[in-house]
Parts: sequence; C-alpha cells; structure tokens
Amino acid sequence: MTKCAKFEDILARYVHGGVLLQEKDALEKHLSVCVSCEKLYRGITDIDRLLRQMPEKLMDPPPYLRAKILAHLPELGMAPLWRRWGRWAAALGAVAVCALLAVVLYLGSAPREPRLASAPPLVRPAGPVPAPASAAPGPKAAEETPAPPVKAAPAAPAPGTAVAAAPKVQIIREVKIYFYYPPATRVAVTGDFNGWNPEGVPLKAAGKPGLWKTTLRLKPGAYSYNFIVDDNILVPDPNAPDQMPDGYGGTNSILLVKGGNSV
Amino acid sequence: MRRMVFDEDSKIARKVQRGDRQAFEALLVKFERPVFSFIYHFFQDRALSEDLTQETFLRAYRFIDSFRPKERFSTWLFSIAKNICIDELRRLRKGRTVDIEAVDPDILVSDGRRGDDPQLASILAQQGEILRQVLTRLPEKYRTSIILFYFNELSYEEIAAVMRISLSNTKILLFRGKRMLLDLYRDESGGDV
Repeated sequence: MTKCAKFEDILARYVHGGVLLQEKDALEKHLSVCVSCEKLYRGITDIDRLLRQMPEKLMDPPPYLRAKILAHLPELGMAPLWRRWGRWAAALGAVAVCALLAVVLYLGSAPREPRLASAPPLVRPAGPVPAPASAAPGPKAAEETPAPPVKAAPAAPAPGTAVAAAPKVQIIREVKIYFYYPPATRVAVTGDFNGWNPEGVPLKAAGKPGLWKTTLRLKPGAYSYNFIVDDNILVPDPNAPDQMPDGYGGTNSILLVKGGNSV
Repeated sequence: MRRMVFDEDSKIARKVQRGDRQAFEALLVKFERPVFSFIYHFFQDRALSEDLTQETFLRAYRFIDSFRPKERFSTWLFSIAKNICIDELRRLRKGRTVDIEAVDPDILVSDGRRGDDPQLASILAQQGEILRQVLTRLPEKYRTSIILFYFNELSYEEIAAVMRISLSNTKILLFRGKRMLLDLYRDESGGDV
C-alpha cells in the first residue's frame, strides 16, 4: 500500500489540476495495473460528479432574516467609533505621560546648562535608494528631510549630571516610483505605507508612452506594495528585487527604504 | 506577471469602515444567500443556519475595522462564517448533537429543471440526500472546503485564503474530503456511487 500511498498526492493534483507531465504518465500507468487505486479514482470522480449535480446548492434564507440583521446594526454602529476613539485616547494618554515626564525631568535639571545631544549623522546614500528597479531616485531622491525635533530624549544620562532634551531627527526619504505598463489608463500605488488604501497614490504619465511615475515620501523601513491598474487590478512590480506571497494567493512587491546609518 | 482583481466588495467594505451603513446593507444583500447556504450545508439545520448567518454578519459589522482592503471581502466573510460554524460545532459536541436525520422537506423537492425525467430526478435527489447527510459527518476542515468548492463555488485560491493554507494543500484537502465522503457514501448507500 506504500506504493499506492505515494500516488495520493499526485492523484489529488490529477483531479484538481497542477500535475506534472511525468507524474501524470506514472499515475496513469499505475492506475492501469492497480485495481484499488483505479477504483478509488473512479469513486472520487463519481463523488465529484454527484456534488456538481447536487440540486439546491444555494438555499434561500427566510425573507425576514435581512431585516432582522439590519435591526441589530445601529447599536453596533457605535463600536468602531469607540474603538477608534479608544486607540486615539490611548495614544494621547501615552503622549501626555511622556510630555509630563519630559517636563518633570527638565525642571529637575533646570539650573544646569542643557547639553544638546548630537543628532544621528545624516548620511546621504552613495547610490540610489535601494528600492526596486522601477523605484529609482530622481534628482531629489534619497533626500533627508530633517523634521523639527519631535521628542525630548535624554542625552547620555549619568547620576548627578544634566539630562537634556536632544532633537531627534526623523528621516524621510523621497522615493521615485516608475512603472511601465502601456495598457493602463490609470495607475496608482498602494501598500502598507498607506494601509492598502484602495484608491492608492496616483502615478502620472512620465513622458514616455506607457511609463508612469510618482514620488513617495517614506520613513526608512520595508514596505509591501502593489500597483493598482485601472482602479481594480492589483499588479506586483515586475522589477522589484523582492516579492513575497501576500497570504491570499497573490504577491506583494517589497520596497526597502534604508535609513541613514545603514547606507 | 500575476494579476489579481481588487474586488468591488472590498471598496464597499471600505465605505462601511468609514461608517456607511447603506454600504453594509449592500454587502448583506449580496452575501446573505451564499453565507446562509454555506452554514445550512454545514449543519443541515435551517433554524440554526438563520441564527449563525445573523451572527456572521453582526460579527463582520462589529469587526469591519479589521478587514484589510487588500483581502477579498468574500473570503474574509466566509472565514468569519467558518469560525462561527467551528465554535458552534464545539458547543454542540459538548451538549446536544446535530440531528442528521432531520431533513428539511424543501430539499426533497426535485429540481424543476430535471422535470423531464422523473426517474433520474428521483435518483439524483436520493443520492443528493445521502451525500448531504454524510457531509455533516466529515471533519470540519474537509466539510468546509467541500461546501465552499462545490456549493458556494469558490476558487481554489479563495478557499486557500479562507482556510489559511496553501493552494496545493487546498487541493489535497478537497481530495481527502471526497475520499472520506466516498467511504461514508458507500457505507450509507450499501454500494457504489
């Protein structure tokens, strides 16, 4: 039976598609000599036929069910708002606590001269932002845009020494995205950088027919993305060096935006 | 180059996320019948299917924020329905059991399209009835995949997304499910298909 067992997987793909040509030949040869496997194959085919012919596949729900479900919605309608508010409230609370701590620490060291910590060096990448081939830096690409100091940070704290606020630099990089797709009439890019927004960030015609481009301003990190063609077709970037399954049978392209120190 | 449709239902679901109740109603109108059918075939119990269909949609509405527009709305919704069925199955196993002999009289009515041959219609109805009964004896994962494939007519990719398994495992799951179904059918009918 061990010999037959190894054909189970092949038989599954033989029935549902995806069997290799040489596997198919081997299986058909085996089916011609193995009575039990041949009987199994026939049985599976018959069950498949019965299932396909089965009447009443889609059943009508009772007519009142829709109204019954809708009647329960209004009270639930508040839930997402509460959750959204809850998240914001938690974030605001955390910010308030941090601000309070910063003020307390600052006041505690007020008589002393504050010492500014040196900000992380801003390193301009030697080459293009390591993004897919279609995401190439333009003249302004890979440009660090130092944001105003966003948060106070302790600078080399030591017992009895001053704890000072140091500006933390937020690096934002401009990444030019190019996509060559002549059949498209509209192209946008979407990904986890914008919560997979179905509208995406629109690309504009880049001059050459079929070439589309846009610029994204992104923090360093790895992003999954795809192009949206004509509002409803998701197309991975054919030139992205990295692709990964999206977990839903499709593919995501990976965009790597390096930070200052790692370039 | 792989293509995947960014489905319209996901866009409607996005509206629901923004608080559009009418948009949810549109999704309810579209998916009420498929979800009800899925649950009905799972349990063969009409009253229970009503309750669980309602629970599926209410849970979908309550957790609409967790829906990612990249996902197909249908597979997300069927995932919820499947999880609700599994919960119910566990509950039933602890308490009462599903009465598989309780057949809805509606399903014994032969399909009108086969009215030309009453004998064939009768045989098909009889075979279909046995199949429905033995389907409820299959382990949950096989039952779910077979119902989604043959009754709800989802693609392999969609079933893989609902079950959170690979495409090749989906095919093996369907094959093994049918193999079990075949054995149960032979036991029940006392012979071949």
